[in-house]
Formats: sequence, C-alpha cells, structure tokens
Amino acid sequence: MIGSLRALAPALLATALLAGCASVKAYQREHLADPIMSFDADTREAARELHWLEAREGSTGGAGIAGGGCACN
Amino acid sequence: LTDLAGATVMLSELRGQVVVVNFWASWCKPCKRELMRLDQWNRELDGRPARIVAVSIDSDREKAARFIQDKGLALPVFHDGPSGLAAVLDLPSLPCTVVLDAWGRVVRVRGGGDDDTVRELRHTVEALLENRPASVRAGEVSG
Repeated sequence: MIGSLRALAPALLATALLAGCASVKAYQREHLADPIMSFDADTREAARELHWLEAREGSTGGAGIAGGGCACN
Repeated sequence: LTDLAGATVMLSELRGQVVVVNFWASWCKPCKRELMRLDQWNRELDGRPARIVAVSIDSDREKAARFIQDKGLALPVFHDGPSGLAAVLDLPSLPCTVVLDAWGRVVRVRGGGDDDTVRELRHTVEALLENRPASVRAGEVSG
C-alpha cells in the first residue's frame, strides 16, 4: 500500500502543480502588464537604462519580453 | 457600455453609421499609440456617416479617463472593463478593432495597432461608405 502511494506521489505532485497553470487572454493581462511584475528591482531605472542603451546602440527590441504583455506583437 | 462620466450608452444608437470599435487599455502601450491615430482619423471622418469609438477594458475607469484627458483626445471613449464585451467577444489580441456596418453587422475584426492596421481599417471603412463590398470576409480575424 505504502509502496503504491510512493509510486503515485510524483504523479499527484505534478497534477497539483499543473492545476495552477492556465492560459491568460490578452484582455486579462492588466496585472501582468504592471511594471511591478517585472524582474527588475527598479523598473523605472531599468526603463531609463534600456532607453539609454537603445539610443547608444541605435537599435531597439530584443531586450526582455515584447510589449507589456498585451499580446499585440 | 458606460462613458467616462459613468452614463450608460448603447452602441445601437450609432446604427445607420459605419462604426469602428477599438478595444484598448491604458496598460497597453501599442493601444495608446493606435488610439492617437484613430483620434486623428475620427476627426477626418467628421460629417461622414462613420464613427470611431474606443472601449477601454481597464478595470479602473479613472485610468482610462486620465489618459484621454492628458492627451486631449476627442473621440468618444467608453469604459467596459475586462470582463464585459472583451470577454464576450473573446478578443484575440489587444488592441483589437471591430468594424460594424450601418446595420450593426461585424464586417471585420483586426488585431494589432501599427500603421498597417489603421491603413487596412481605413480601406475597409471607405469600402463600406462607398457601398463597395469590403475586401474581407465578414467576421474575419486578422493581425
């Protein structure tokens, strides 16, 4: 009995973890698009740095995720 | 729908005109860029039987109102939130624009907010205004 429970444990764990996965529609991404969801500690400073970098390099894009999570790109 | 002052408005009041309904949000940067273009286009349509209306899907109406006020946009803006029409229509992307003919039928659904999008929407609306068949199938989603 205990052996079969042990065998089932990884499957149960995976089921429990994957149950939280869901696709988010474009119109539901308001909270995801919030700057606070960024990995950067200071999002405004990061945006300024990126702007400066883009100006220096003469190119844009390729940094981080595209857009604000609104699925428009 | 409600306008930014909170008054209820029916889209059916615009029946008889070609109506371009643009779904946008203050947290969506491409939406805001497109809205500026649509505002300009709406001014150009003055006196013709076509209207552009913007529907904000922000949860907070104030955020939408602040953006419209800051930019001085003149096109009619309504607020519907993320669980209203956007959910009913299950918008495929944001920004997303729906073109309705004079009878309120959906002629086109177009995602995206770049220059090409606005150009294509203009083409569709001009075709409807001239009673030409639009070059796209009804209900086609593109972009």
